[in-house]
Amino acid sequence: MSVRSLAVALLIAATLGTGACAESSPESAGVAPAASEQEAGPALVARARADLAVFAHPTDANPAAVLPATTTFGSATTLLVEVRDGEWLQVLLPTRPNGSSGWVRAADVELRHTDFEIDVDLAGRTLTVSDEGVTVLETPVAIGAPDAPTPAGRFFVTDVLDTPDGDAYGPFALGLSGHSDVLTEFAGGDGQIGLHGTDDPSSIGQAVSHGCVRVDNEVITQLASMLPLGTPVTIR
Amino acid sequence: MPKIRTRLASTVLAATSVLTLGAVHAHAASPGPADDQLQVEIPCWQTVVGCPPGDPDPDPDPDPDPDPDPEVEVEDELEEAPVEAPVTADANFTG
Repeated sequence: MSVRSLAVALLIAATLGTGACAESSPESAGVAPAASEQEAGPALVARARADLAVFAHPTDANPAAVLPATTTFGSATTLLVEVRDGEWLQVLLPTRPNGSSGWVRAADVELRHTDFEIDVDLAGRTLTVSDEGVTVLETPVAIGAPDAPTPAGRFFVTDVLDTPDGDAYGPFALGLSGHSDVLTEFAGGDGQIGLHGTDDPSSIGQAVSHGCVRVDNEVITQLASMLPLGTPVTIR
Repeated sequence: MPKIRTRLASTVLAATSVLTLGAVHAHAASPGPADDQLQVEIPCWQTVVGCPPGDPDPDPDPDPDPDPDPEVEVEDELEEAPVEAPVTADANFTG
């Protein structure tokens, strides 16, 4: 099953009250109570050991989809863990709709932690990086224009790209798990949002992008060298 | 001659009483070594006389949680996610 099919399956599940969306909790979604929710402390990230079976519910006999072991860019598929329940992990998925989640077997992933977290304040147009809860970087950003706003929600870093030509993305671009609520296609992609540099420094601080978050090139260079895949990104 | 000796340790000062059950011997002249005796420790709250006044903990939790929080222990063992080398690729994000 393709990632797109997974998104459809999970959307149906969410409609039936068994899936998950950005605002749902395991209890509200009608799934098993969480044994260990990741609401405090370091974030858990799950790196696929191979193609990864994703279930709509741990009790399901068959997976709703199988995620490839690598992203379309070639990065190791790494997901942010939201809930840890015994041998199962509820993970955010890099699929539409934003906030989709599913369950994977803990045995199918390498579980790690990260103390880094990114917070994007759309109103303030700032990006903050924290390490163990301590702010280590705060910088102004460009965000989506009113007709293509940057979506709010909880996401994670899916890719760290060294963009060969630089140009509009600057020297590096971090893929995020979220997608534009307006654009379903952009530059050959599926509307995935990113965090990247820019060839137009004057745009920083403005609401001018197509949904991505732009930072100064020096900042994105720093971020590319310090953030692991799966780093949580909260846009609000 | 059979000899049954029961000794109840002090129930006033000791939190735990010791009941000593003597071994049964066929010959009174040969009481046997002391290690033939079976000593059973009986908590004071299980004795007839009960615990002395002021016992700080006459009935501690008989079933302490044998598995306090395995999740935390496992999480503490997790390694930090590595920072991987960027993948060289043309981005196609929304820009």
